[in-house]
Amino acid sequence: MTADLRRVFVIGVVCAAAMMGACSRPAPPVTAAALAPLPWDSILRRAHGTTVIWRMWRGDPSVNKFVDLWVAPRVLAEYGIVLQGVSGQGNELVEQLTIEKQSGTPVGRASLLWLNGETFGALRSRQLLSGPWSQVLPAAALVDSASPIISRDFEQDPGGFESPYGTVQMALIYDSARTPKPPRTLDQLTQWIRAHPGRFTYDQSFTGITFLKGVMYAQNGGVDTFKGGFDSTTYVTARTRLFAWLDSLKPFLWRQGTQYPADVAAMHRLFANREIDFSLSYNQNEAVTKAVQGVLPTSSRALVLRDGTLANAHYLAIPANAPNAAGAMVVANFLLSPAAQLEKQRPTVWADGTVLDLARLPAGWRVRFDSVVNDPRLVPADTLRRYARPEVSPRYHERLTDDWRRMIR
Amino acid sequence: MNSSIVSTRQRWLPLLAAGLLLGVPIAVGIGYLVIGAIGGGNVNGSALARVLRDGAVWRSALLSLWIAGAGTALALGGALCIALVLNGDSKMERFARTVVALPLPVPNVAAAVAVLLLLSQSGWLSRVAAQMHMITTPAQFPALVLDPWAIGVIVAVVWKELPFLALVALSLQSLRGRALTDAARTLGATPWQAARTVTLPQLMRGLAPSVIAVFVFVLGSLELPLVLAPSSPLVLPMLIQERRQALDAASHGEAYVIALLATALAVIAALVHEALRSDEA
Repeated sequence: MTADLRRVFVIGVVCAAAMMGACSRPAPPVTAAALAPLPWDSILRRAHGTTVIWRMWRGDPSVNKFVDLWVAPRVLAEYGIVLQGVSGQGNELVEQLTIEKQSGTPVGRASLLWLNGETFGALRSRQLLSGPWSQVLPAAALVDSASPIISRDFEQDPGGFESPYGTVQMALIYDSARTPKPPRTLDQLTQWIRAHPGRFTYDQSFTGITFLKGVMYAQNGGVDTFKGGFDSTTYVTARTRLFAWLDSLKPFLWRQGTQYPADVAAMHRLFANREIDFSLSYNQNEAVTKAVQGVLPTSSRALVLRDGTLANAHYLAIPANAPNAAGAMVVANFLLSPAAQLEKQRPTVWADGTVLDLARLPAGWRVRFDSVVNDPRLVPADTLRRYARPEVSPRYHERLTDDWRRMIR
Repeated sequence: MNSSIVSTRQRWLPLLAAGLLLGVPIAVGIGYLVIGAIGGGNVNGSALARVLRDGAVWRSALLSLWIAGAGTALALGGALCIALVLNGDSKMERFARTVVALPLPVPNVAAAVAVLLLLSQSGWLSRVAAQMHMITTPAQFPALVLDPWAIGVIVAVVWKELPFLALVALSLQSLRGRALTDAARTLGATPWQAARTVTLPQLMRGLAPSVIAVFVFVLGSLELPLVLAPSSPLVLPMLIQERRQALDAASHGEAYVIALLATALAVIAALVHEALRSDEA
């Protein structure tokens, strides 16, 4: 009830501001779902000369640079669209759009959102997204729609309400000069940790818990055990096994498992300074990108455990109250184009995996992708594909985070 | 008669303005915390009951009090030494006072990173120790950051807060002059006796509000612990942040309750100060 009180307070403030700002209420904008049946040319015409505000995670300078300095000038030159990337992700998006809806604001601020997983689930279940629209993008024909990683977003069907943008896969980062023969399976990793006390740890934020979740899959019959929504009994059994493994390793971890690095950045610092011998990344290419940037040693490489590592895709969605759905669709289509997908995948740019099926590309593009993907420093694409495991219900991650904080940390 | 109304109004208006400016934001903030704290109560009993039963919260509170207490005490000790030693007018002493004030404008985050670079197990000190063959691996260097005693945070707190307290102490010294100290010396006190019985008590009384301010500020500050503090237990501000950002909505109410607990600790510190002051008066 008090949450309602707070909401009433916020809505009151928003309404007062709205009343002071304008007496006439603007008409609801044309939604992406309404635009989807129109010919693409007509969408392009509507998008010309407009502005698209894109709420996105702004935490990585290389991603920001790609958006601000590579994408924005091109969509302006090619489509006459002014693209503005502004900060906003996860729960923030849900809260903002919920407040806008409750206060009856017909036109929101953002036209495009970068999201996946539970953010998508929360927004869609509250009818805050418009769709379906993503299947009408011309570039959608090139998407690797057979990939289980792209066609399911944490077990949810995107259903045309989100358009794929990129893929990532969990990897361990090691220094090939320091550790020429790294462990390749969970069993080997366990032995390695025992043989090298104090040289391994994982971070206590999202990436570290994702690593643990991968271990939990491997110890409990693979990802299939966890498919089909959250199951408390399955989870508790799996957690018990995982935590027993962690308890047995604790004395061999960095600082005997009494302290854990805050996040991936802290992991990278410890790894680069030789306090530990492995770092983690939920991007299979980060070992090389960060080595190119000088953050990690040049001999840093990624490896995926043969027991399987988690992979997921991230997507673009259009809010139901987007002021400029046409512009958002054109930008989403541009981001799916081979040119944008290739640029994004370069290790010197962002190294984010493509969502395109290379076999569907014209030969010229395929060659260019191959030259990026076949960098000998990277994990080969078929290895990545073979060991990629999809995400399951976000509830597993949530529970594991909570329980790890209570029972292990 | 008119003039007396005007003068009353003149007296009350500034008070009212100050009350509004200072009191209202605080009242609104605390009100928001209270609403948030009660709001989280619909799952598993009230958030308040959960927080009170949660050992992690009390360990966090102890760690935060330890950091604020030890950091403030060391900074105060340093500031008093400086005020006693460097209060002369010689060029050298004036220069030394400028040097002492140097860390003041350094942002907290920069101070935290500096301490990390200096004290971590792969930091400068560790590398010097390795060069001198005192250690061969980073793990042999004592854990001074991300450590259970929060030594790294305390070092950073002292480095940032000592100059502030020292400046206050030095300005107190120059305001009050040396008359009392000189009188004590004339009456036969040794320099140490004069410092201990005259100068220090005077300084302590003048410094008390600043000391409480530093203690409360450190108790609530997030930047230094984010870089330097242990992951277990977390300092209160980090624990509040973690619970507020948790995926599980039931934790959000707990974040508000813990924030109220932190506010209560700060208020208690201020009340202790008021009680001590009224005792003196």
